[in-house]
Amino acid sequence: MSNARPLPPSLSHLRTSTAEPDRVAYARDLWPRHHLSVRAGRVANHRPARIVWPASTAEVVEIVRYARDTGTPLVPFGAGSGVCAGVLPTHDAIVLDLKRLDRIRHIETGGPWVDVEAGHMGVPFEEKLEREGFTLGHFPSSILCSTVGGWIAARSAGQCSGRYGKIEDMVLSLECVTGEGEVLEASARTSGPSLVPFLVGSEGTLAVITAAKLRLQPKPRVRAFAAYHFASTEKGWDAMRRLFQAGLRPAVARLYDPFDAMLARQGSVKRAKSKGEVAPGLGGGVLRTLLKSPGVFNGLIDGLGTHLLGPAQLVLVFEGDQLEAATDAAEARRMLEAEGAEYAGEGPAQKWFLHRYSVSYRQAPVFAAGLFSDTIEVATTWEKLGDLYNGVRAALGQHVFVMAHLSHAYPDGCCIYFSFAGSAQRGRGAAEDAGWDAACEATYDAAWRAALRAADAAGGTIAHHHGVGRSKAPRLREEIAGGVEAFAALKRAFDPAGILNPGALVPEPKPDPYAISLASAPAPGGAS
Amino acid sequence: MLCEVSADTPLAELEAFLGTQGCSLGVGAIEATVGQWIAEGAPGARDPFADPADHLLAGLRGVLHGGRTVEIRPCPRRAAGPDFAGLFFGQWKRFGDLTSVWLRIAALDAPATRRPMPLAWERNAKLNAGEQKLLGAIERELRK
Repeated sequence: MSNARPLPPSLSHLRTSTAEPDRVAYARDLWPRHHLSVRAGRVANHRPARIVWPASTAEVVEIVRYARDTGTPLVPFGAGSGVCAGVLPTHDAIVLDLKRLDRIRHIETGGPWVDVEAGHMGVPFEEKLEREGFTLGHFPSSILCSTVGGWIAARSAGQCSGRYGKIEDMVLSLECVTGEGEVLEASARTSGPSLVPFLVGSEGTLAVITAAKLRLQPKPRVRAFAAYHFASTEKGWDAMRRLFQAGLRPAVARLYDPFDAMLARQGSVKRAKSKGEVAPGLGGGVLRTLLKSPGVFNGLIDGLGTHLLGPAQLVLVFEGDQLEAATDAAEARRMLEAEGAEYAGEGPAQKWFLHRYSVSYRQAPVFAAGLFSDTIEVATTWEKLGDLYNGVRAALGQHVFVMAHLSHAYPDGCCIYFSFAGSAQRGRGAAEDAGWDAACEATYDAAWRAALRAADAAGGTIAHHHGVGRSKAPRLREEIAGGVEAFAALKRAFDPAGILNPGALVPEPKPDPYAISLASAPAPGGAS
Repeated sequence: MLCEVSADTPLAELEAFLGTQGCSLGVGAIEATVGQWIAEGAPGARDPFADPADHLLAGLRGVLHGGRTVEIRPCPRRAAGPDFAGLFFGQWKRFGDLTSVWLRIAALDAPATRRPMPLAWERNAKLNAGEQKLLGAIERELRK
């Protein structure tokens, strides 16, 4: 039962709920560790006291001022697709769901730019822009279940970042409500002071983003698809580097290591042949057994090598007008073949494009089979990419089965996206005795600790586009020296009462009844 | 390609050195140190809106006026909270001073941007009252 205090009569016009189904629905985002909790029977432990659905910036101001005056934690909420526990309400918190702020206020065709409210969902937003002849150029894998405000708050990246950049490259100005309950219009500037760099990526901790002016691009008239094979992943990323440093800007450039490429060749999401097939079965049992010894499994895959798994595969998509896309695709082919790449036709790239949002739907059967899966996206400069790739892969590989692809390339570096799957690893001691799910959680935490430590040691960033939330918060201090103290100063300036999403980005100093600290937990089995 | 350079290096000196290595920042003759140039928002540098995949400033080390050191290791992009480079870039030394920076450089014969993307937008709009108030508050809090 909710312990929400009654709202004053002055706020009676707000749409709000303290009903149990709503509190359960808003108790979490899509952090995979939550899935483990649910599987273990701990359903929606982080239920907020109340949910409010404002329909205007003025209503956001009202609820923020109420929260400030009463010291009530306030958690801004888009569509809940975050994967780092950016949403983890405490029992006294109000969740502020912004999806009713869903208007396009204006499209400036001469800019071109758009003024859009933060709660607009991704797909309908892009569809509206395309009907007007434009694109934002932002296509995150979560586009079906994420909002414009969520993209900005988490510093998101889309699949076409090679041409259009990340979301921070699209923000011209932001309308937001500070923790003081004041409306702020913050503009990006190229040669002057700007608050936009602080607000983008602030994950609801500094202000509630209510609208944004975002640059637009003409809707592309054509796309040119191509795929290339490389003898090794390293040769592939060296070719990606050369493409971007030569000034080419493929909208999509994704390099898959041999195992990931083999999976991509075999197909995307497989539909169940009959009802109920997603339940744990023989395949799940075999996987559970194999993943108890991930080091052996990873070694086996490595041992197969490219002669059995096949080559590393680079997928490229150029887009724009007819001449631009064709010219750049031809130039890329000339460069890549000169580097020894084998042209693999348009098919693999078209296949990827067709299934580009499907990967998010692979997770549920994995958890249902008693396993777990997750992803970590790290980045660094080209010079350190090998150390980062090998370091994180080796660290994860002690605990889970791991594969990788490289996406989001830039002239000075690249993002590596590791996907991993695991189960209750052998030798988890007390956790193993406590049961399968507890042992899975112990393995999951150990894998994450090892991966983040390895990313830091290799000089990489712990997050390229998923954000920090609470799952990576204990590592922010190592990533940016002085960053935690600087953030605290920003927090006091934007949100003096400390009501906005407390605990995200930087762990709360006071005990949090719901917090799970990955930093303080002991390393099970001493193996991390 | 990146170069790490001390903030007190004259920009012209840096460009001359890069030229001997076959590289350039692509900046004309500007009389300023690298630190001053970055603090003023790198006037004359390539327009960040022209090529969204490319950034000038990849990392930095600086000291805030309150005495704390901030170090951002070079990386093309990150999503690790707010962009703390914003404490220095374009802030005209309001919050602190740079010690060194990592800058993206290009080969002299490589065009940094093959096809600039046009944008009609006021890139340096006048600060409004809300922005001024918050910049002042941040300045005070950073000194604590």
